[in-house]
Amino acid sequence: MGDGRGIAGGTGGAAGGVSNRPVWMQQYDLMGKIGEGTYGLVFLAKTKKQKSCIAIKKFKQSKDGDGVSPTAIREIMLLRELSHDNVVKLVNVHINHADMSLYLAFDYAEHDLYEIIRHHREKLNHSINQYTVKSLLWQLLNGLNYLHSNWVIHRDLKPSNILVMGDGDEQGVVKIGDFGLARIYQAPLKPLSDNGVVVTIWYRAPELLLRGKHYTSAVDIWAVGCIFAELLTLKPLFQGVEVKGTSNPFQFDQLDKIFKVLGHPTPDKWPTLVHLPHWQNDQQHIQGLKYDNPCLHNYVHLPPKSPAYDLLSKMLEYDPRKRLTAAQALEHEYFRIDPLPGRNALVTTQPGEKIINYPARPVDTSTDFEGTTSIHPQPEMLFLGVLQHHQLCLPEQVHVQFLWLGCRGCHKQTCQLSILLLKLVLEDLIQELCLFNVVLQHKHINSS
Amino acid sequence: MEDSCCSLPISSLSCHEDKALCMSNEEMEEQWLPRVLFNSFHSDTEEEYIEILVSKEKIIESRSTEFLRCKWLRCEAIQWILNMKDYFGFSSQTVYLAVIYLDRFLMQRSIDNGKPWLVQLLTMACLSLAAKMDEAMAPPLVKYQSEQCCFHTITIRRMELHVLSTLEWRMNSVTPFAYLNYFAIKIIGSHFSVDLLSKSAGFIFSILKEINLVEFRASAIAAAAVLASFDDKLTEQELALKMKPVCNRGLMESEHVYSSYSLMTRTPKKKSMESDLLLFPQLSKTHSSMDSFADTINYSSLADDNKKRR
Repeated sequence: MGDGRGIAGGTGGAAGGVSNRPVWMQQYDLMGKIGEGTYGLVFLAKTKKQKSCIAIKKFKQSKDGDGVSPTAIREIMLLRELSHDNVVKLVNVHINHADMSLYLAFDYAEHDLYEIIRHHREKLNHSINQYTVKSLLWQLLNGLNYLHSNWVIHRDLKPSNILVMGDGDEQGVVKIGDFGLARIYQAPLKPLSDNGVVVTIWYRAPELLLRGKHYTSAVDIWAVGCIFAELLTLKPLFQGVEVKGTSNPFQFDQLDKIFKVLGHPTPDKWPTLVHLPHWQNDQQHIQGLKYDNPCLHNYVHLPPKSPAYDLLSKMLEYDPRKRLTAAQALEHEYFRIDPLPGRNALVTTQPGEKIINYPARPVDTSTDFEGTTSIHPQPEMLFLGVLQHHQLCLPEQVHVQFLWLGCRGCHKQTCQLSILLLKLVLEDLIQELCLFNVVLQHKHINSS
Repeated sequence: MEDSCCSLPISSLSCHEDKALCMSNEEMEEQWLPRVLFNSFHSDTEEEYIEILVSKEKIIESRSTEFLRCKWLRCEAIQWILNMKDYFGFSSQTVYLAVIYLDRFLMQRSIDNGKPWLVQLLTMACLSLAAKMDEAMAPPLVKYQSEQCCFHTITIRRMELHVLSTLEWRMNSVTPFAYLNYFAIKIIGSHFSVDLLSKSAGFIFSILKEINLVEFRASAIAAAAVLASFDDKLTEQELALKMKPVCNRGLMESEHVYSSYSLMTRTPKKKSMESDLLLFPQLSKTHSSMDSFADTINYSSLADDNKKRR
């Protein structure tokens, strides 16, 4: 793993615009950007050899004075140790020696629970079938059980981090992704907010909201409970309004949302509650609030006696010590009754049921590996627009070549090219244009 | 052959001072005490955890002569790490991790004797990486520097990356500190004093400079340290007897423990060797000779960084 080359590494390749890229980058065809977060950018690429899809995560450059970011070190370190069907697979680590940026190559997953849920809520207007819900949950718990038995807590489980494989050998297989915040038990933890990382509070366990000092694997189970409910109802179970602030502010609304559904916690049911700082200080008087009786089953539309409801309520147990573990959850009756969970969560089980074609991840082709985005419309589009306006046409090959350049992520070059080519076209210098085309092809051959 | 389109960002080198170690007193205390591994949640799975840890230990019979060749430089390096521990208030775990990284690196790469500055740079990178792994808040790179001993932060970062890829990103090496609490209970009983843990930590540090950490099991060192702080005059047989509750489980062999134990408990030699050593900060004065190497590793870009700085 890693490039295994010296520090300098050398960027290799032929001189000139396109090929002025590190050797490792040349083994991929960049398709475009598929994600962006505080951690950095994610790109979709294809390996030139096998044509397999790879998601490449580029870590945001940490400040020069900080060296390699601790988040990156920990995430890679963890992923190097993990190997499970339901955990995303790190295929390679690339170091861009010139600017010392880090790129992680993962097997690409076409879907994630956030998009699947959204597709059902906004496009299909019907719930996810039982088999799919159960299979997704089953696989998620299997992956989590593996993590927990290897003393890893994920800490940031949410629908967008739960990936699902698209067409191929592993179709419909769940992969737990994004280990940016994961920790080996006992590793020191900064409060999440201090990392400068935006973590949604909707899936955060009550002991963390009350500022408990000890993370246990139970925080992940809480999140899975929330995700389970969301798979059933297509909307987040506890959609609290986040209090923004510098150092881990008290999330009153989030707790309020939880209490409304699950009832008020009591030291009776949750003995260590009284030791939690935010409960103890009680600056916002949460101790004295009055809530109606628990009504979780109404929110998720499940009969209180159903196995699904039983499992859900045990994952959303207030006391982290009483909350189910992943291993216990996998033993639950819910997974032993029909429909049984399967490896491909996206197939249909009922005859006559239509296969749902979940949309592919949108790919933003205007961003290159360096993360430079074109603020203007893509140059080739602009270029073609001008051509159309002037009712001019272009030798086909020039066009193809041009797009190829754009997609290889040399934004600056494409802009310069578009201007140059436009000039040539407008001045009707077809011969020069063809010459230009030859040059481009030449460069292409050199670089690949 | 630098990538010309990605120039080195050297814009923000200073101005990290205010983001230094900002720890509350409480956190500071936590850092100083040997960390007790388990809260009550985990006690029933502690045995299982210890077994996993032992299974993750890797010892390698190092055939590399690098350790011996670099021994005096390594001692200097460790001393510097220990000084930094006091300065920043790093945990014992961080120190140990840094030395393991150093030894693992030296096992795979050789360093020219004429380039002590490289060992110094390597040590800085190892300590910085260890702090990032183990401390809640790792200090910015500039903080590691002193007047005599300074590298461009970009150079340190480059070295960090080099260490990471040489160690194949396997940065969670098991350290003896993970076991202290467990062995104290198993060997001495639950009535042991906190003092014993800090004494044990002292014993572990006492042999850091003498052994190549890749050749010793962290668990054996931990057991030896606990025993040494309990009684420093055990014979091999007595030690084996004491070790029974642990060895019975097949976790380790008492011979391994004894070899560490005897290193820890024999009367310390006069520090004759150390007086001959160069002081660590002075090493940087050899920087100017760095342009001429054709080494096993390509260090040219490190040199470039430093040149840019001057």
